[in-house]
Parts: sequence; C-alpha cells; structure tokens
Amino acid sequence: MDNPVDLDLELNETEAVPVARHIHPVFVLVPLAVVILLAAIFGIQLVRRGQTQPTEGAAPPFSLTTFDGETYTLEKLRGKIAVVNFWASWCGPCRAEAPELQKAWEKYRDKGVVLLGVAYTDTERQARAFIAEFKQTYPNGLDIGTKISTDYRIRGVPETFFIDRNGKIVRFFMEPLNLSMISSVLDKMLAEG
Amino acid sequence: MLAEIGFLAALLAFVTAIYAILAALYGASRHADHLVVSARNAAIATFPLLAVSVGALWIALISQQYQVAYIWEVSDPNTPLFYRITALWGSQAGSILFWSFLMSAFAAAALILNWRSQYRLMPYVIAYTMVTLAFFLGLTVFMENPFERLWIMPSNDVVRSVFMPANGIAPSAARLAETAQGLNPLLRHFGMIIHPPMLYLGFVSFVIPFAFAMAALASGDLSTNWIKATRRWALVAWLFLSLGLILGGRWAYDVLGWGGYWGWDPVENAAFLPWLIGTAFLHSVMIQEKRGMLKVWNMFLVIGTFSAVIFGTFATRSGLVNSVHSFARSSIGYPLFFFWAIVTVVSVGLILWRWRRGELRDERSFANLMSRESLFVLNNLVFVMLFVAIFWGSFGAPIISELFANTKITLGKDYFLNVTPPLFLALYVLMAVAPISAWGVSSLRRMGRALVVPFVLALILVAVLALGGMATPVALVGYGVVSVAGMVAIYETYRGVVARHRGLGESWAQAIRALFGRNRRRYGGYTIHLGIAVIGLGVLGSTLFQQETQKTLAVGESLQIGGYTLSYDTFQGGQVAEDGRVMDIAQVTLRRGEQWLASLRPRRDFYPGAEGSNQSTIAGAYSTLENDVYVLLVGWNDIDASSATFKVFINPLINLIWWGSLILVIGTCVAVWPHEGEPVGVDTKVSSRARARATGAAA
Amino acid sequence: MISNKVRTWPVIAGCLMAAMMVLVQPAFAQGPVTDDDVNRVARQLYCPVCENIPLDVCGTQACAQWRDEIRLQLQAGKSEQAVIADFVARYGDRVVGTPQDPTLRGLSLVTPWLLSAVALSVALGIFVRWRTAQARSIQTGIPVPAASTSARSSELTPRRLEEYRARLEQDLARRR
Repeated sequence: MDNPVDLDLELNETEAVPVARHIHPVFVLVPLAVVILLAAIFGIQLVRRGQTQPTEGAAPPFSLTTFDGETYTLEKLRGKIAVVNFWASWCGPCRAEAPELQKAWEKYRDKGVVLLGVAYTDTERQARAFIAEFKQTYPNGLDIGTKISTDYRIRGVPETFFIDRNGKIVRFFMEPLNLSMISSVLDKMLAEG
Repeated sequence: MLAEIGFLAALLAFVTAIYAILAALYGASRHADHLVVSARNAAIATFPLLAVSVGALWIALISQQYQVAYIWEVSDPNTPLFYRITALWGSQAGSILFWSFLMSAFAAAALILNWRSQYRLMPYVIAYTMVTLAFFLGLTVFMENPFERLWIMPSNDVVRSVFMPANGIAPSAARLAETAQGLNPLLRHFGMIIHPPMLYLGFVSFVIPFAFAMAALASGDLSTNWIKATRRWALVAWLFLSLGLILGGRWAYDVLGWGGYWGWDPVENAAFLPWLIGTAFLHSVMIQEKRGMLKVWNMFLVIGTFSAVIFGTFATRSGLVNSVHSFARSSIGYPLFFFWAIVTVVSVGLILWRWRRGELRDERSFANLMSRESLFVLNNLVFVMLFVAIFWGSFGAPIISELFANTKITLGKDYFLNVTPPLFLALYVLMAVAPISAWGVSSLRRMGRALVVPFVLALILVAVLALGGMATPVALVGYGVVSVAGMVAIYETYRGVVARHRGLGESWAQAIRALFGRNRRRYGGYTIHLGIAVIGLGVLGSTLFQQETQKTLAVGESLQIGGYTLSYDTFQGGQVAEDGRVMDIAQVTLRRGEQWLASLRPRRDFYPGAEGSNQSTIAGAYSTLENDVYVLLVGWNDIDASSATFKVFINPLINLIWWGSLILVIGTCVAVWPHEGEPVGVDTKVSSRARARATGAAA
Repeated sequence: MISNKVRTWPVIAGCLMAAMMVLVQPAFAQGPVTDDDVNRVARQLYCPVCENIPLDVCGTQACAQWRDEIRLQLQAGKSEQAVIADFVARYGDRVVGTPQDPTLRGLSLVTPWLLSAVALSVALGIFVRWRTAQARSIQTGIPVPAASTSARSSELTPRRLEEYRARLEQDLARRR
C-alpha cells in the first residue's frame, strides 16, 4: 500500500487485546450520588434563603423579656391583638417612627392591643437611651440571641407585624409607620373582633 | 432606537445559538456535513450579533441615554467618560450581556482555529458552547434585560419595557438625568475596572476546554486530541482567572480599607475554587500527554473546573451563604442553580458511562513512587484537599449547620488560616521537587544533587529575611520551603542556559532566547513557578508579621509603630472633586527615626446621591519592597478636625505579591505563545518513523 | 477556643506596641483601654448588620456602638474571652468567626480533614492497584490492558482496518 503518510494510529495495534474490563458499579453510583446529594442540599438551601418575612399564617412563637422585667410570649397574648415592631437605636427611620408608635400606644392600649418593641442587635445602653429620648412607655426589650429576628426573618429595621387574637399574622410593613397607617390597620382588626 | 437594536441583536443571537445546537446535533447524528457547517456558521455569527448588542449598550452609556433603565442605574451626568465605559459591567444586566459577548468571542475563535484539526469533535463542541451561550442569553432576554426603558403610564406608574407600551410616554430627559443613580462608589477604582472583565474572561474561557472534553466523551474520540486542542485554551483561561483574582485582591487592598487583600469571603473563595482545579488540570494534563495515564481523572478535572465556574456564578448571585458580595444577589439564582445541576449531572454521567464501557483506560501504569507522574498525582491530591477544605469552610459547614442545626455560622479567617497553610506548604515542597524529577523513574541521588545549589541559595535568602526581623520558626520554615521552590525554578533555567552556552557555543543572550523559544512550556512553567514563589514570600510576610494600631491624634501629635513615626499635620475637609464626590483628606507625615519618608493623604470619599454604600475609605500608603506602611483615616472631630483617628498597618513584603504576579503573567505568556509555523490545533500523532518514511518517499 | 497559632505573633507584636506606648506616655496603674485593645476583641467578631464584615473594620453606626460597648466592658475589667462570650450570649452564634458550640466547632474543623483522608485513601488504593497489575503483568508476560478508543476496536479485522483507513483518507483529503 502506497500511502503518502503512514499514520501511527492511537488504536491498539498488534498484541492480543483482552475485552475491556468493566469497572465496578460502585464507581458509577458513588460519584453520581455525591453530585445529586450536593444539588439537593444547595437547592434546599436556596429555597430557605429565599424565604422572606412571614406575611400570613401562624406567627412564629417568641418570648420577649422587657426592660421592666416582664416576659411576653405569643401564647400569653392570645385573645389580644399584638403589634410587634423591630427597631434599633442606630436606625434613622426608626427615630421618625418612634413618636408615632408612642401615640398609637396611648390611643389603643386600653382596647386590647399590645404594642411590643423588639430591639435588633442593639446594646442595652443605647436602647434604653433611645426609649428615654422618645419617652416610650410601651413594653420594649432586647432580642436576646437575635432569635426573634431570625424567626421572623427580618431583613432590616424598622419592620412591623400585626398579629390577631388567634396568633395569626394579618399585616406586615417593611417601612416606618405613622399613626394613620397604624390606626387604619388596628381599627379594621378591632372591628372584625 | 439603540435599545431596540441592542435587544433585537441579543434576541437574534439567542435564536441563532439554539439553531446552532439543533443543527450541530442533528448533523452529527445523520452525518450530514452541510448541517454541521451551517451550525458552525451560526455559532460564529453570534459574535458579531452580540458585538452589535454590546455596542448599542455602550453607545447608550456614552451618549447618556437615561431612558434606558440600565444607564439610569449605573451612571449620572457627573460620571466621567472612563467610568461610563466601564459601567457596562457595573450592574448585573450589563454584566450578563458582557459575559455572553465574551463567550461568543471565545467560541467563535475556538471553532475557527480548530475547525480542520478537530473535525470529528466539532459538532459537539458547537453544541456545548452554544448551550452555555444560549442559557446566558436566555437570562438576558427573559430576566435581566439591560435594554428595558423607563416609561410613564397614564396611571403615573413607571413601567420598564424595551418597546413603547401603549399609552406610555417617555419621561422628561432632564428629570431622568437629575435622578440618575450613578455608579456604585466602590466601583470607581482602577482595580475594579479590570477585575470583573478579567474574572469573566477567566470563567468564560474555561467553557472551551469543557466543550472539547464533553465533545470527546460524546463522540467517542477519547484520544489525546481534545487535550492537545485545549491545552492552550486552558492556560489562557488560567491566566485570566489568576489575573482576576489578583486584581480583585489589589482592589480590596486599595479601596476597601481593611488593610488586607483576601478576606476568605465565600464569594472570593468561590472564584478561587475553579483556579485550584484548573491548576491541578494543567499539571495532570501533562501526564496524559506524556504517558497516556489519568484519562478519567482529567475528564473529571475539566468538568470540575467548569462546574466550579458555574457554581461560583450561582453562589455569588443567589445569596446561598452570607457574604460581603450580597449586593450581587438577584432572582437569577434559581436558573443558575438548575443550569449548574444539569450541566454537572450530565457531564459526570457521560464520563461514568464511557468509563464503564472501558473506553477510558490508561495506557501505562505507574512505575515508581518517585517518578514525575507520582509527584503530579500528589500535586493533584493536595489541590483536591485544598478544594475540599475551602469549599467546606465557605459553603459546606455554613449550609449544613443552617439546614440541620438551624444555626447560622460563619467560618472566618481563623478556620482557613488553620487548615490551608500545611496544604500550601505541601504544594511548595512539590514545586521544588517535581521539576527535577523525571518521567518514569528518578533516582533520589540525582534529585538530591540537583537540590544542593537551590538549597544553599534559599538559605541565603532566608538569612536575609531573618536579619530583617522576621525570624519565628514557622516563618523560617515557610520562607525556606518557598525559597527553595523559587530557586529550583531559577537554577534549572540557569542550567539550561549554561548548557546551551557551553554546548552549542551560543552567547548568553542567544542561549536565553533559544531556551525560552524552544521549550516554551517548560521554561514558561518555571517562570510561573518563580512567580508563585515570590507571591508566596509576600503572603507569608504580610500574614505572619502584619502590625496594626489605631490611635486618635491631635494636630501635631504622632504615633509610633514598628519603628515608624506618623504625625498628624492638617485636615482638608469638604473638597469637591469633579465627579461630585466630597473628599475629606488628612495630611500625615511618615518618618523613620529622624529621616523623613513621605507625606501621605489618607481620605474618606463621600458620594452624595448614591444609594447603598456611598462612602469609601482610600488609604495613604508608602510602599517599598520591604513593606507597606498603610494609613487609614477612620474618623475625625466633626467640628474642627482638631483630632483625627488613624489606623495604621505595616504589611511586610506585601509588594512581592504584586511583583510575583507580574512574573506569573510573563511566564504564562511565554508558555502560551505558539511556535512559529505550528498549526494551532494539533493533528493525529505523526510518529517520527512515519515522518522519515514520508520524506524518504518524497525524495 | 481555638489556639490562634498563626495569629500569635501579631498579638505579641500588639502587646509589645502597647508596652512601648506606655513607656512613651506617663504610665498609669493599669493603663486606659486603647483602640488596639478594642480592635483585638472586635477582630474576632462580625458586624451584626452587614454580612461577613469583621467588627473592627465595619464603619456603620451599629458597629461603632458595639465597639463602644466592648470598650466599656474592657474598662470594667472583663477579659477578652468574657467580652466575646457576653456578645455571643446576647446576639447569638452568628457574631463570631468560629462556632462556639463545641460539637459544631469540632465538626467544622474535622470534616475537611476527614474528606481529604477519604481522597487520600482512594488515591492510595488506585496506586496500589496499579502496582499489583504491573507486578502481575511482569510475572505472567501479558501486557497491562491498554486503552481503547472504542470498545469495538477490540476486534481488528482487516475489514475494520480498511474502514478506518478509508475514513482517514477522507479526513486527510478534507484537510488539503
């Protein structure tokens, strides 16, 4: 055969070539299983991370100990309307919101509404100073272990949750409130009973 | 007009890419060559289409068309022209389009350059590159469209759409210009200009080796053809990725103001992971080329690199874990996740399928533990362990603990600086030993002899460093190992030059040129190793011996650190720069003993009107080879700046990192440079016997 | 508490610096709490508001307040560890760089070494397998099975060889 170029092929050449030995199934199953497991874990984590604040359904239980030493829990507030407000002393919009909340407290405290302030990652000194500055009389407490904030999946402050008498979240606000906004929600909740 | 052109070009590119996939696969299965050629033309055509699209966006940026929502988000009338151009990648929508543009460029180049030499692989290369391109173009067209314009509806709502909606009117140009958001202040720095494009180039160029590997698996042509075609691409990709990482570190050092260059943040690590696997691949590929071994492993490495690239993109933009890069979070997390999962499962499945059919068997086996192959395997092993350790710290542990223990943890610097140093040290040991080992088998005696001179030179260098004041046992061992690795690279190069000079009678200059010219891979590689060693010295010095202090100084007062004296001279507050930012500058004087060294101006920049992070802290730094004296303005007395707080770092040897990177870049360029006359793709192996026969027949 | 091996020197350097500053200034009985002392604690904590930024670097007001709190606690005589433990108790595990819970901490540190050990043993196992295959082939004289580009090539009939030749000629012709 007269070929211009005789190529050495990458094929097996002259020796007897045994039939290709198949590798053990475990070498196939384990890598695939690892990849699928990784994908599952990332997928679940992605879903979890995408979860935002609860805007309906049962409110996550919480336990808040106020600066006055009282403890408020979600169970104890059954039968009352609860307004849970997350704030911090270093938060500018919270300063605008604070007097409005105090006015709302004075207006609604005798109507079976409990307003709770939860200080998010605040130092006790600064939180107390904030409360004193705005002369707030409603129950305020530190979020020990940042647990309540984590359970409510807040993304920043101020954020406010309105919870009805059965412990279900009715409204959620991710902005500073004023008296008229609070009144419109609370009036509606009180009317519905 | 521009928005419509840009969008339609991108849409057309998307459709073309899909056509290319279908035509390529159908043509391959039916052996219809004309379809494959058509697919190739379609794939190449995506490049000019995307050039038009990107061009339209650039023109819109430069001509300040604020009705295009993207322009409005990333620039304002004060933005200088330079940042206006780089704002193309200032936010997600533009970044993704830019990414697609780069990918189409690389795909077109790969197809054109390798068309004739890798003909059998081509249909699948087209298919895989176009699948990736189509995915990212899909993101642009359907989710993150930079060409959407702002329209005002009768209801006074603002609507975003490329084409004018019924009853919509364009907002007034003046109002748009007024309210434009402007570029994120952190992006207004030279390093940040280069860092995203370099990183994208690095990520995107890894598509090519990946596509060739997948093509080899899909077509059944599992010889070394795919490796020979992609070795240069892999090196180029590696270069860009390395540059992206280094420039990111440099930018962080210059602008972020915490005195460091690598924070071990999960997103930083996510870009480092493909680099680790990519480097492992570059080394083990040599084993397959020279000895025909590790075929399955190389497949896993290439797939792994690309999978890590997509995973990194996914992790950055989805908020998978807590990270400082949270500004990049968006809704494209889910599509990226599915793309990553499908690509990884399919490619791993393909490898396993071929492996199980016995088509990826090694041609030879390991002869000897002290052979170069074994050392390369060890090298790969260490890279895998590094990958595992860093992945675990950034993603594994936080995710597992969040899912199963319901606690959010962050593994910080302490974890990484505990777990990775022994592994990095092992890498430097291997870097010292492997270049002097031989394929097949090497004698310990010969290797020992080759180590003597580098060892002595390293000892001298370590002594110099120790005399400079850095002499703990840990540091000395670290410096020693890194120095030996660097000296081996230098010495082997020297020996090669000497051999040519004495043996062939070439002059020194000729010998050097010829040595590097004829053995680009080897001596380019040694240069890269030298660069890595220099970087290693810089990292050791700046990590082990960093000094830090913070103090409030009154005007005229000074502080002492590490033998330096820093005094606070004056304050210039409220200086307005041409782009509208307000600069508060402190002037300080640096002295060493009695000698005046420099006058530094650390400052704080404030960007009025910018959303989110509107401040940046620019350090004043005095840089020498010995160290950086790095001064940050932390705070000042608001009323009259009669006192100011400064944070001062002394970072020993840190500039070796940047110089070492330069050496690394030069080495990679040498290694990548094609030989004159050599076809860029390589054909089936022509043995020397056959060549002789051919010339004999021709004679 | 993880012994900060790599960080020992900066800490000692910091103490030396503090000592030097005491020498340069009139010495007090215990010395005021310096910014460096606060930063030494803050470095081990994370900003509560921004993600993944250490407390000594962060510029937000929340971080400034936390640093003030650290300063007060240090001035009150608390040790660094006590301050950190206090912050963890008040704000949760997320404020530190390594989990305080011993099982979680052990898990975080041990797992990468475990996984690497798995990788190492797999590599060793494959290496050993190669060596025995090599040894066996030397003994029996049968060469170690070489790679095949396609399973079908295990049957090299003249007809298949011709097929391959024809395809090669085609490829070559195309290249000219």
